[in-house]
Amino acid sequence: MMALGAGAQNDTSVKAKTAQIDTSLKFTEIQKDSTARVNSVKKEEPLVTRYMGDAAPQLRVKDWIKGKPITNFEKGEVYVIDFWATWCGWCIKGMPHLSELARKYKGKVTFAAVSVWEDRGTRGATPEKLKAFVDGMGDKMDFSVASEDTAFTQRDWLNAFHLDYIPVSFIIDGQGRVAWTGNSAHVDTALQKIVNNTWDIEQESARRKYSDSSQNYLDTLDNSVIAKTKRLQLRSGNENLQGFTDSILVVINDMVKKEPKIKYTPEMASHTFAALLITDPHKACEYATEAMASPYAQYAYGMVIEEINFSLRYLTTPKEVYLLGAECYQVKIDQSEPDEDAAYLAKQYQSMADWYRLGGDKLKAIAADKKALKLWEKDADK
Amino acid sequence: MKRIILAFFVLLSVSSTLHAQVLRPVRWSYAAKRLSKTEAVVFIKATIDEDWHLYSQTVPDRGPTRTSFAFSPSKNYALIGTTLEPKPLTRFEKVFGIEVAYFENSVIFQQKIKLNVNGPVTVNGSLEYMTCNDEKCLPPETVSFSIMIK
Repeated sequence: MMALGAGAQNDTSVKAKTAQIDTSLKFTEIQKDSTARVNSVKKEEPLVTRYMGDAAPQLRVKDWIKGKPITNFEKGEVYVIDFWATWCGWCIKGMPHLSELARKYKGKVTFAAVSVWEDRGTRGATPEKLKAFVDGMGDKMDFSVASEDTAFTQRDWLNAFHLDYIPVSFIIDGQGRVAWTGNSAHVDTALQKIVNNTWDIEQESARRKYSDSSQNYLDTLDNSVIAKTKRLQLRSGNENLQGFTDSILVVINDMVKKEPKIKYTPEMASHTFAALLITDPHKACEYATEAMASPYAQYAYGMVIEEINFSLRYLTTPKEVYLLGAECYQVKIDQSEPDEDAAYLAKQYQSMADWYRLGGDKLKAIAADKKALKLWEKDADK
Repeated sequence: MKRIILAFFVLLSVSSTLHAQVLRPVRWSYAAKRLSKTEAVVFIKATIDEDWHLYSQTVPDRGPTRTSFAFSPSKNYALIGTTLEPKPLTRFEKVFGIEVAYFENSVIFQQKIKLNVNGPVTVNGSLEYMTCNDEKCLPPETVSFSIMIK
């Protein structure tokens, strides 16, 4: 039981005893009112989704409160547009740093801050208060400052790029493209590269594609292969291994057709590789090599070793597969921590030697044996 | 074809149309309890994701947007006192130059109500709040509620 009300000490009028919170109380979720988020957006212009690399939208604001207005993005000029609010502590905290950058890149990069969401709720600043706030910041906001046009600014920038938080900055490159978006605290690296013309928008977009929230979706899809094939396993009763494997591959092909990005995700990779080891070991090796060149390479090596070990119990394994597995051991060893236990590494080399031998590469097998031996000696010396 | 990870299955049906991430770190819920024939308490609970902060009703104007409640006037009920909250955490925020009071994890606000009629009474109103984590803030939101006291 927790007594409430202790925090209201500022309000002396409230000394009434508060009810104790009954642990049996059943709370009902309040569904969020979706209309609360819609601004006075003009109906005739629908929201356009924009991506990094697209041409920067026009910067339509209400008033330029401070500094020279930015009317359009000049070719050859780089711009940083920061979105902020007076109630946003992180936004204000970041201003001196943005000002420092503005001074550092003077003549190369034009900075501006646009205030947003001051109309939300009861706390927002009036135009007069906003102006007073900006004046009070002095050279902590050493760049042009504008207030948003509630009809356009958020819709064209934040909403179009699916950004729902502040502080957010956009970097517009010399070609007028949005070259970077993100938390204003993290503009430094990208800005420097954009100024130096060494920034690769496509690469950054690809990196984000694999690290943003859509990754959760891919993870979920990836994991669903377990449930789908487990069901097939139950159906086939495992008596017909070939038929079972074929139906797994049908499921996998179907899933990849719908979402090509999951072709090499961890669970998909282990299911595909295991099934191909049964139906077509050569294809299995080809697939594994592709997986090792995919963004999921880090999972692929361990998976290949595991699946080969698993399949050895009931399959005759061609030499090609053993050689692939041996190479995976090498990568696994190369990627191990510098202070990795010598005995552990020795075992890895020993397994590698076994597979090289089974794969018919006697020289590599001997080399791996030697390395294992050295590590065993090192372990014995301890 | 080994390792069976069950935890993710349930998510599948929910997130299959996921597009852009929509942050929703604070979720609101309510409950009500009748104390007597003429008195009741409504509880409004915020469940806050890890690392996010919800601000106390006592935050001054110069700081982040404080949490606030507006109960619709009605002849069926009257408010007794103000909306109460537990003791918040506090931190001096240099950028605002003030002590900012906030909540983490979850917080239950409560409002005592005097009931003017017999039978069930519905308390309507809205609340406003904003939330920040350790590097960003979401804009203030208004959430409407309608709480039935049986």
